[in-house]
Amino acid sequence: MLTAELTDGGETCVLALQGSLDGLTVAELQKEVEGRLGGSIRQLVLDMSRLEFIDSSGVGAVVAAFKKTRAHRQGFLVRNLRGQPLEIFRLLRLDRAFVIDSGSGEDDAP
Amino acid sequence: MPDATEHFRFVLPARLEYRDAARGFLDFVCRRLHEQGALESETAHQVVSAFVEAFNNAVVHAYRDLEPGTVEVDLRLRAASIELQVSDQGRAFRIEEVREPDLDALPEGGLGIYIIKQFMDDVRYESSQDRNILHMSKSLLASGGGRADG
Repeated sequence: MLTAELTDGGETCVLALQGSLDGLTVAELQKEVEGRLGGSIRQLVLDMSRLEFIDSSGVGAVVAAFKKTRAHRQGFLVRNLRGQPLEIFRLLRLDRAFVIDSGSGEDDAP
Repeated sequence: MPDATEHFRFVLPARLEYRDAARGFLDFVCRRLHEQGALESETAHQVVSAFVEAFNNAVVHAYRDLEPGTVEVDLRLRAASIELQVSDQGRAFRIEEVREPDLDALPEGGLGIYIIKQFMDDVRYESSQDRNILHMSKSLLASGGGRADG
């Protein structure tokens, strides 16, 4: 599940992910990203503070979102990565590819 | 030391929507092991991640173009390790032929087996005439005094 919010006078779109991003739920993110490409939005932010789980399908959708925003010369930021998603992003070295703001939620109980 | 084992078994339809039934239980077990000092939180995340990728592979790849069957999940808690087996009756693959992804190229797929191999201590895949089994294990922390009973 995700919610979308426009900030910075409509130049930033924050997509807040919640629950699981996996093979069953990636379509929602993909559709939302497609609808935010180009136009007046200058930056896409994925807020993962309430994302509890991500699998390789979810990672694929995040990477695809990054590539598409880059192709449209839009900024891309992942915010508040923590827990299991943080573990996956570290393994796949995604922090080297795009900007990740991990906030304060580094580690938490499983 | 006696190797007392707790064994849990799930037999689930090979559909992604059933995966979280077993994942929820595995989450519970890992949380319990974490509270006992036998599993770091990061390691718990790794075990759950590996399990999900294994289940996904069985559903998405093993049963592709086949009548969906079942995925059997066996979880064994031993004194020094947590072991998972994910079995299917679909199409087998050769795990040694799965290429490691080029992470610098930012792949959007082909990451499942890599995640499993990186996150688990031991990974084996065996295939017989009627069943494919992915075995995975992860060592528990010695500081947890081994797995506490009850």
